[in-house]
Amino acid sequence: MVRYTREFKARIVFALAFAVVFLALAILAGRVVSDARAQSIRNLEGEIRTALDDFTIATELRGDICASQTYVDLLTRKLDEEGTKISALEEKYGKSHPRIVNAKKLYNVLLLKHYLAVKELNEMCGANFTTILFFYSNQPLYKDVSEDQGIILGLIRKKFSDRVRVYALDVDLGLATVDFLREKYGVESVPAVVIDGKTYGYLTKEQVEEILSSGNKSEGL
Amino acid sequence: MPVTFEKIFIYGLTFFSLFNIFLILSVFLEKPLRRRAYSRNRKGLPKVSVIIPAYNEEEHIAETIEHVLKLDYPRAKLEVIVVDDGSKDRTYEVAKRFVKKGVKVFRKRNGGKGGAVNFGIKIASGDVVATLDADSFPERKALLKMLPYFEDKRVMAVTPAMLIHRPKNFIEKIQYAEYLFGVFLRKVLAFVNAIHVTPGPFSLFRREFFEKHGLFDEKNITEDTEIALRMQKHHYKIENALDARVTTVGPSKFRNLVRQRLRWYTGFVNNSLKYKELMNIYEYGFMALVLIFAYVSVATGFMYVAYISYKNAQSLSNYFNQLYLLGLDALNPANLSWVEFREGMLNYLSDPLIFLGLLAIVTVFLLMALVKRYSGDKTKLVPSLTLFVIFYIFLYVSFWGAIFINKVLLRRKVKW
Repeated sequence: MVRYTREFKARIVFALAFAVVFLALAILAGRVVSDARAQSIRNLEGEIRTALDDFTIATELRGDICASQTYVDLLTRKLDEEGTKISALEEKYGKSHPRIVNAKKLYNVLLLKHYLAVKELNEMCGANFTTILFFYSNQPLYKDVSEDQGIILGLIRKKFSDRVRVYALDVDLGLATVDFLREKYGVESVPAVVIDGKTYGYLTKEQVEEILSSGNKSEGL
Repeated sequence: MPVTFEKIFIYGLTFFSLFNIFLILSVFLEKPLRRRAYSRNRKGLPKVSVIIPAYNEEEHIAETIEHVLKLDYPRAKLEVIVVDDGSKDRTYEVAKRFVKKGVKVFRKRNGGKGGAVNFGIKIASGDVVATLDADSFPERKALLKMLPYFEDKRVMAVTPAMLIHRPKNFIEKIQYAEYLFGVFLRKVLAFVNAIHVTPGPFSLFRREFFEKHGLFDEKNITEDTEIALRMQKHHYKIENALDARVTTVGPSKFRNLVRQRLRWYTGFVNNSLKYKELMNIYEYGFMALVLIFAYVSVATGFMYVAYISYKNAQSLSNYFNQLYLLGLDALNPANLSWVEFREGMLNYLSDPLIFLGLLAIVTVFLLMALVKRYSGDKTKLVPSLTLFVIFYIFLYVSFWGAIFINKVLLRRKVKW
């Protein structure tokens, strides 16, 4: 009695086919979710750009940036959200995925516009935001230490959200503005942290907090 | 998405698992669970000899014998034989108390379970022989539910739905879920005639098989696997009665469980190699596939555990790195952000493997609920099954790890 029957073969084929279909469906479902998230980043980008343009034009019409402070706060939250979304996708797809690199370029440009606005608020309206520029690189040699610095500054951003603004800038994106800022603040190696115009190398959490509190004291005096 | 070795590896494993699941479902879905009507005509029932081999079982033997005597079966057609395999405790004395109820009690020099059962078979007068471990308890209707399967002349053995008796602690609860899964699997295997073990707790045998092909192998550490494979080799059928519930006492200590599994799995390896002709797919079809896949599953089990450990080590080291960088601030809930949490979860849930894993867990829960309902057992399902899903793979791998160390590295012999 031979048990290698047609029924046997049919079941094997059935199981193989369904395994393929289910694996494909699961991968597809994952793709759909990722696409939706990439789309939501693009939407967010659009929103931020519109809001920035709106803010710039309103400021020009009024001839006074100080009245627009609440818009800047709104932008801060949106930019934070976009940053988080992008780093989550980075974690999933790796940092060199073209979709992510493109999103990051735009994000960095928007960040710098925000940075200029905050500087203006500080200079012209007596606002007292500490700005931190964080230059980093995902090249193998710098990646780990950049990520550590990122974790520390991520905490600083949340812990002092009322008075500190952090701008994480990727030096490998080839953006003219980023390159200009590097030159301006004499940043030669990454990671580098520029706090209120003063350039440092890698900083521990305690060091950042110390710099922040001493800056406050000098302003209080 | 870059294609890395890690991806190929883990997707390959997942594909193999999916293939297995659908192979099982292809049988299960096609042949829905059906109760077999048991015979109402009591005159046509065969004579059944229940053989209870016992070694140091003074604790449970009385309850086991009582369960047999309570079986819904004509007393005149039920022969009960207890074989005390030279116990060092009071097993023999306890069993002796049942002599006045017609139970035949014998005592022999210690020689292993196979020998004790064979001793009983030689005395037995029934056309159907049941073996019953002395710590196992068949439900009242078990015999009536199992016997009709012998109407098919090629059926040489019928197995019951074997469950753990009153699971209490962690080890017993995990075994309960494992056995429940085994109940399901054994039914599926019966459909394609690929059962490879006729367990000690209440398997029924046609006496004719012993006459034609010999008794249990007394030197075998898992004689219940040996005899099943011998039946398969001769192209007989082994059936399963899903609604015939038998509960058995499982090891309650981890040590004892490991020792039991060491015996089972080593026995499986020895016997499957003894009957390696069964692994010829062209002659034995599903039987061959089941044996081959048993080996592949051990390998994939190890790979899964290695992968899971690697992943956990990775996230653990990330976590410690955060603690190191941020100190107590890392633990402060005020620094948690909802957006970060949401994006992290999205990352997690949109992973095809997590998605499939969750689907598999839901399927296991549903199937087990179905099987439990069908077998009529009243034990709570959710605690056992949860423990099973989380921990079983690690237990399973550690059993095989112990076997590897024992057999290959230390070259020790496993005793019964």
